[in-house]
Amino acid sequence: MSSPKARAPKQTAKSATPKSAAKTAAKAPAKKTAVKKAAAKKVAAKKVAAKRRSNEPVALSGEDKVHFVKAIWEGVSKGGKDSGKASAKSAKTAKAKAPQVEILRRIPAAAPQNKKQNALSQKGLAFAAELEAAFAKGELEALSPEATQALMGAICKIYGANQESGNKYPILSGRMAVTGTDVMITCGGLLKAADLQVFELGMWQSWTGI
Amino acid sequence: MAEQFVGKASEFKDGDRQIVRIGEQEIGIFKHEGEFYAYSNFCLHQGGPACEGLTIARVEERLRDDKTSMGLHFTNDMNFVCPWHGYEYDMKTGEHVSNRKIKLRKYNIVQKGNDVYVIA
Amino acid sequence: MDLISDRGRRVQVEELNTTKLLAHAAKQSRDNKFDEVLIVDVDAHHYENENFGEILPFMENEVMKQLVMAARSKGGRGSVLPSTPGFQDMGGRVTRYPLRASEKTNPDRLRDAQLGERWMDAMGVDYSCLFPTGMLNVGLHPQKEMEFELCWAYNRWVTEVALPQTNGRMFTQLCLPFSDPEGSLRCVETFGHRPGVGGWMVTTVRPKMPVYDNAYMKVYRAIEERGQTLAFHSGPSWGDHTFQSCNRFISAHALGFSWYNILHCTNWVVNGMNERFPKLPVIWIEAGLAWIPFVMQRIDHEFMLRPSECPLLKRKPSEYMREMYYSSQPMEIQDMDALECTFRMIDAENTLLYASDYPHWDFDLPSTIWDLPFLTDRARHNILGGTAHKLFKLPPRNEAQKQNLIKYGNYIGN
Repeated sequence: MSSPKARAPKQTAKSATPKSAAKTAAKAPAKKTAVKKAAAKKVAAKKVAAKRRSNEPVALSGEDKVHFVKAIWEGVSKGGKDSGKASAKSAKTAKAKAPQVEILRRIPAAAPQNKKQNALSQKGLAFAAELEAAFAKGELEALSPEATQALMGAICKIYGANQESGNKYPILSGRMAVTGTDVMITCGGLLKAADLQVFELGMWQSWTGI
Repeated sequence: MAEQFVGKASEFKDGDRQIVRIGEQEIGIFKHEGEFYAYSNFCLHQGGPACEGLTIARVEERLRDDKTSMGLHFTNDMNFVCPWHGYEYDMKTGEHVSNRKIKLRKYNIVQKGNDVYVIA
Repeated sequence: MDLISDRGRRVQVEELNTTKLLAHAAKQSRDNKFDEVLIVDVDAHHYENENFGEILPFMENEVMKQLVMAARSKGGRGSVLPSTPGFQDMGGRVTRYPLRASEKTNPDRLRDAQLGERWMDAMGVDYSCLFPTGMLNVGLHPQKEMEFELCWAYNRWVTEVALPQTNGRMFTQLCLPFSDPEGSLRCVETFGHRPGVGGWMVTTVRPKMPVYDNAYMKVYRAIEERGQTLAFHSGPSWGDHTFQSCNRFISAHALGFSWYNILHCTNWVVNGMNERFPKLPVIWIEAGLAWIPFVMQRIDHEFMLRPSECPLLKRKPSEYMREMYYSSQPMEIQDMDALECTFRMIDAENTLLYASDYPHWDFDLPSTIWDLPFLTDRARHNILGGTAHKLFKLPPRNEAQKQNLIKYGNYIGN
């Protein structure tokens, strides 16, 4: 079921400040460029309409067809950049009054899975949060080299074993979690520590698909 | 073109979406990996609600150097899929994943403090 | 509702409401004033397995009935219909498949009728021909007795239970148990006169189907005499040996739908069936259109070289093909010149019938026809409903539709 938030239809977003509302009204009528761009498509449409009235087959030029295909790509979207009719229509509307923002629906990300963490995982999450906090304060020595090595080794073992046994999950929770440089340095360090060359990694990945 | 207020940034969690109508336009606003993206909600195929379907990771077929296939795999790039017929668009560009020329109209998003605006 | 996406990730989407899902189709319908155009959808579907509880008791043979009823009971290990592997829902990307059960309808009236009205109203469709989904595989059943029983029960249910609840908006081309010519004739004679029966459907997904066999002539004659249609409805069959080299569903699907119609249409034409039953309207359904020029050219070419193999033909095979009917979906709008050429080759203005195929994944809206730049207004109106009005005798639903039918020379009365 949707959350109550998701089912709230036809809300109107209220302007945040009177200033932004004024800006909205001032900028609304600008649609002329789109109308101009659509002139060619209008010509094609007129030709088609004239032929339709006479019930004769329509001979379209190559250019007309390009405009039609563009229109197909643009779909029926009245906002499409080559959609002349629609742009003209919206321009008229905009002159009359500033467009209202109507919230049709909100679709939240999936409801959080309150997955139970075991005691060790809870400790791990709390410890990681502590480390992140210390790092944010610039405490580069928050974790000693020995502690870092021990943690890295344990994580390597447990992650590797899970992947091999088919319990696959990404090693990081999201792309924003670490920088590319962090990944390069860490991967390089791991390979060096295990006396592996980059080509060996590539070969192994090709063979195993992991 | 004007800035249209569409909501508070704090109300969007990663993965949340909002569909708004502004005049004749319908726009889907996504929050993905900390960024906002906004596209026309009219699919370029038959006009379906392009922004309202499943979000799903892009699929790639991995090849070895000798051109043998390692099969299909999900990548870390995200697509959103029109629920009518399955047109799949790149979350970050609005381009159809198999033909980059087919591109949903993209709207710019401006964030001022906690307020999110779409330029439409 | 949550749907499962990549790697088990859960994504929330709204629960299914067909009217809401098709809101953009309704906009197209309003913008194009489709209410003034009679629009007949000659191929729409329901999921009849959701009604098996009502359908199967209509089976005649008590032993067969016992087998399928027990198979469906709790703990039953059998299956009613043969199935073929496939991923129509594209891994959940086409959300109306996984969400189907979440749509709310009024329990007092047939759910299929209510869902049908929702999509028809949104698209601007006035009438739709209701076809089954799983039953399209009935031709793969190894028991011809079971095929007959299932078709018989389905035909009874459609005409006695379903159609009376659709306010006249749905009609049918009933299922012929084609493996059983005697049974097929019995169906035509029993149900042919019932309200809402416009014709007969043969599912073409079959391991062997000699459409030219002498055993069928009496069936064709019976349908022709009743002024009804004979439709061949295609489908995919990934399990068929022809498609076992396809390692992706897209290949088996794209080829399968065209293939079965290519096969049976070729046999139909080469054996002079159009000469034998000149007044029998034959419709080829759900194979797209691109295959037709291909077959026309192939058989015309060989016909000139091997005329002695088809002596019943008095004209080129393509000329007979130009006189049969084709449903429009899934229309390959990829190369506009090629599509225009196809329309010319099949005389689309007089032979093409709009079909949505809703709710299946590759449905087409009426605007796919309406927006084609090379069509005349007459062609537009004929394809969307004028030609079907003449074939199925469906009355216009308002005065504007009637006037349009008159204007384009299609009106045959209410």
